[in-house]
Amino acid sequence: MRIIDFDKQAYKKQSVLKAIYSLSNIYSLKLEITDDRYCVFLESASIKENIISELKIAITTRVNDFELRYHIAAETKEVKLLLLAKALSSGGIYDDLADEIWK
Amino acid sequence: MEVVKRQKFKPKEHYNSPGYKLLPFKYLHIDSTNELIVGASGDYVIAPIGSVEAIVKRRPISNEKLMRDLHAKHIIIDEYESGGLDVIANRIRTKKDHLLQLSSLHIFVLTLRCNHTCHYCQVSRVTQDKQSFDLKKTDLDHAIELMLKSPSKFITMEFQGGEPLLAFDLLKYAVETTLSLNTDKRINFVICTNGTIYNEEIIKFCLKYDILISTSLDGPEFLHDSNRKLRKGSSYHDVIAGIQYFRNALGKDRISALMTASSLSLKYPQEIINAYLENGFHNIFLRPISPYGFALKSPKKNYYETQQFLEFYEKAFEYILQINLKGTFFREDFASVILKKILTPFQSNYVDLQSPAGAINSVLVYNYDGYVYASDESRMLAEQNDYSFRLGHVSDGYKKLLTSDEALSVFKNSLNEALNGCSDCAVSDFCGADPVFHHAIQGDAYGHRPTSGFCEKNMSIIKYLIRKLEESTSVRNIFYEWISAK
Amino acid sequence: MINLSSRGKVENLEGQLVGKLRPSKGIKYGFELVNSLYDPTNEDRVVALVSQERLNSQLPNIFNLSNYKILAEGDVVYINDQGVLDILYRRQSKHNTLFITDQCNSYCLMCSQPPKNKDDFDFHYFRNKCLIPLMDEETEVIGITGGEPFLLGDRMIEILEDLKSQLPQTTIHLLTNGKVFAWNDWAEKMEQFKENLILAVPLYSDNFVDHDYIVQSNGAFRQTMLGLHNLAKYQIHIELRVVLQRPTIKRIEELSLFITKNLPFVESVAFMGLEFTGLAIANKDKLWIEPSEYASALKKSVFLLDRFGIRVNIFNMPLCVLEPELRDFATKSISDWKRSYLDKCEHCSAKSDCGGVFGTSRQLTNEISPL
Repeated sequence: MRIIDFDKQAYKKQSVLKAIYSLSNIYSLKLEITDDRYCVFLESASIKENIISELKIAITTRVNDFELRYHIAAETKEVKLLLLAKALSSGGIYDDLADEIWK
Repeated sequence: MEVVKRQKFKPKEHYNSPGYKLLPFKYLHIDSTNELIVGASGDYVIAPIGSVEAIVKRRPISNEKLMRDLHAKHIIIDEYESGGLDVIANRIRTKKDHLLQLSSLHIFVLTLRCNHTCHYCQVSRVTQDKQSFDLKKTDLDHAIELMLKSPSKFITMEFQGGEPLLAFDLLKYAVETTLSLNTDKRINFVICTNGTIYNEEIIKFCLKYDILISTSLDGPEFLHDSNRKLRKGSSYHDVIAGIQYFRNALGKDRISALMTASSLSLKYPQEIINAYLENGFHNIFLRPISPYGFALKSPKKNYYETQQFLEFYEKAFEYILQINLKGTFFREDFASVILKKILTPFQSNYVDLQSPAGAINSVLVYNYDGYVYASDESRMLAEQNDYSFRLGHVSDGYKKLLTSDEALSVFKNSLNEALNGCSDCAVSDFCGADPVFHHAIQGDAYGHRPTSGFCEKNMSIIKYLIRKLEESTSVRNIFYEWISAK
Repeated sequence: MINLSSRGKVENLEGQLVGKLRPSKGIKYGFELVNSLYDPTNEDRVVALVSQERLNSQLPNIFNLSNYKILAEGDVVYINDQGVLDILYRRQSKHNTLFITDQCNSYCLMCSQPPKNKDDFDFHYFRNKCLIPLMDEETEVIGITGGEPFLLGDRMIEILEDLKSQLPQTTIHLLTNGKVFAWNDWAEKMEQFKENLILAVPLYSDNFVDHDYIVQSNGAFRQTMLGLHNLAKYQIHIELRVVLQRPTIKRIEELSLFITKNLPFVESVAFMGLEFTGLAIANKDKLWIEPSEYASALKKSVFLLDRFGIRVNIFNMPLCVLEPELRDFATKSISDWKRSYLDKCEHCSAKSDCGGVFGTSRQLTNEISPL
């Protein structure tokens, strides 16, 4: 477990959430917000330093809609996995057709 | 006819479920008033800014068309039925279907020798030294063996250089050896030539094996000759004569041309297109110089900002649309690659815009030095002594090559679904990943999207094309014609 | 219009019979009804007589029939002790069908063949089982229709097996709502028939609300979509059927786009004019729309699919109500026995190319005018 801890004073809330959202696409994580701090709990302890720096870049450069993005990511996480699992297990139904029509 | 005792018909509301679940979708602002919302299937909806927030926060949406669109494009799903997920899963699978084939494009760099000295070329040598710059026969044998082991049933064997026709004997040997060893694949042959080397023997050979010719044409004479230098004489004259010669002998559709935009080219979008039209072409690939270190040996001629290229692209593209609107079919090929991703459920087989990246997954390069590279750009990097994407020697065998550290570094950074800056980008489905580019430009195969020229160029063109698609039915019809033309 | 069903008088018959008509040397205005099924040792077993007037015979005899004149050698008919004669098969026609059931698991607003709740499976199954061996081997196409044919269950597979073994050259054109194929094992069962089988499946909209409303059945859209995808796995030929009617017309272009994206494997798409009978009459206010109101949307839809490479047909629309560019897509789809023309069509130069209108329709568009 790796915990990344942010001071609310230092980072606007929106930026942190946005960055966290970005990370949530790659890592399994949990967020806790207190009065003065954001804590990100990452299940993987081996997170690379460049990801941390990515997080910091994200905090400083992203636009103001991360809360929404975070919401979408959180709500659709399970169905996304389900879709991928189904995609991996189902038969390729268009293979021949694609060859025929589009190649 | 008898009418049965009727059941009571129920109104439409009875079949509507007001609640819904979100499906994984992404969005961005496509212009100052609208959001582009793209679902997991790659289908999109354009809606006024604020729609996404209303959808996510379950604010009532009175626009019935929007609600129907959101369902039909797989952005949201009704609460009670999950059977719809199977259809979307099939869509996802279809888009990634090419992965089951693994590499289907196999590039053979037969020689680095060339009769041209183009200033944007990174690799060619004007030399008679066959020993050091031609692929060795034993290495070629290994490479053919590797190629034929690919799981793909359809293979393209592409000969590059240098100028591969300067090594015609080797080329002949490669084609004939491949055909004698092949048991179960359909193989297309392509020769990438500068178009200035041709004779009856070459023509006979191309006819016999149904070989396609791909050549280079940068635009009108003054521009072409400024970019592409022959030691003496005009490359333009030679290549136009060559194109005619090949066309007469092989058939009009057996020869195609590629252009590369130098700094000078950016000033002449219409002239370039006119040169293609005048020379009987019905398509063009508007292609920037990959701004790799080696192309920048002459920065004045070859360095420009992505933004400059984009301005050139749009000017050229608008001109192309005018030509089409006047009734002449003329296609821009890069747009067609993207439009195919947008308008059809299938993937394009263009290797430079895929996720996972085309490098290794769709293409392997067997270089004159006997080594296997992840992509064409990878072997160009090697000419700058950067061997990051050299997978190993042709004699190493499939398993060793594809599990090498170099290969793994490509794979690891080649899924835009899992790259920061791409994973939440609404147009990533229509785009790709390019670890080799990001390694070359940013020193990190993972890449940093906010400052990436790859990202800037592709996002800008994709958004532009979507706006064009929505703009008018006649443009939309042209786009359909482009992608359905063989 | 031809009436395939009629009622006359009958003698010497108990129960029901199916047989093939054969001219008789002895009778001037009548046929022998032959069916070896009733006596495998005698291929020429005459089981009844069908005649214009009463014959003096020991054999079952049916006569005084209103549709007697259209009977022809090689046709297969059903008769029963109530004096009913149904023509099950006409050898000279291209529009023969096996009717499976009146029952359905949808209740479409515009259904021309309103579903009934009566259990009629055995009745029709009997007729079809008798009919299949009597049909001409040269028969090009046989339709299968209902109701929903697959409600018959495993016996529907049996019928397909019979067709496959007895009429190996015949194309089977089967109308189904496709819901059953949401269960993959049913799609898999179709694989053995795929060479000669086309499944014609209606899809009314690109979203569940509009489709489920039209078919008056919750979950129908999802089941049909999943069914279509399951069928595609086994490369079953599919014809999608889109009915042109008011509630779904405004998303017809979106539906076409939806088909290119989600159902690119279909063999063809048929846009169908409404047959204004059955339930459609009760729902006239909701459904009725004049062709000119959707001409432009239809044109765009047809061209979109055509450009994409999916074959498009327009069914049940007289040529004169279609835009000139669309006339090549029109098909003479109305079964010969239902087809009719108006008086004014007599002067039309395109009549011989035109599929006419439904003789069964209670109302026709006002836009018909000779070309």
